[in-house]
Amino acid sequence: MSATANLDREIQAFESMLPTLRQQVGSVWAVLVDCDFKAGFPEFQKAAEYAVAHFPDRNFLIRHTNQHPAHIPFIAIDP
Amino acid sequence: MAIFGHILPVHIAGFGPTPQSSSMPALVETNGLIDTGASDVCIDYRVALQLGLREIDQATVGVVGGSTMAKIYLGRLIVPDVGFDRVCPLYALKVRHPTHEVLLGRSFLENYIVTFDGPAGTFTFASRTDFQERSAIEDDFAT
Repeated sequence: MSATANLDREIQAFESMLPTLRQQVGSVWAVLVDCDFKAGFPEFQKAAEYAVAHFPDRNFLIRHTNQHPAHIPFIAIDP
Repeated sequence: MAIFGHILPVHIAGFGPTPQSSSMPALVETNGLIDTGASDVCIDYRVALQLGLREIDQATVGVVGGSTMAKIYLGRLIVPDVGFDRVCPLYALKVRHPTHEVLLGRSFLENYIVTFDGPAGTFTFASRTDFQERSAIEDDFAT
């Protein structure tokens, strides 16, 4: 089974702190653990390496401070 | 420069500690469909389950007919034919009968200069360096 994580709190925390984050750290991949911003990185791989090394047994959110809306149109959904 | 059809062999692997199981593979080898309309790399959710990938985010994704929620997993995308091997966010949608397990969207394609030859049905991948060197050579003969 995949490592299913409940990231609802981290996502809410990220969205509420986003304006401040953008001012303070700019355009980065942000790592959040327990609703706290831990670090930001220009590259996703660096953020992933940091998160896995420092929080191997914790849920973490990795999201870009300028996340674009995702589109994957070439797909048909069977609900 | 490398020339391919619209499907590339790809490997998907986990990154970092994941729940271990003797039945859990370290790697899934499959085919990826080049999808210029997709903003990101998309995998069938069953691949994420099979590998025990770690969920790191969620997103609302625009799809045909509307939008849906996708889980985003931490994984390693390897595309041997173009020398790509990188840790990436992998968007996983629940599709009952996917035609392809991996869609190679623009988050992957943006690393290359990609040219599509319609009549031949081929994609040419060039690194930015290859493309700049070729452009420089062609400029030497400009009139």
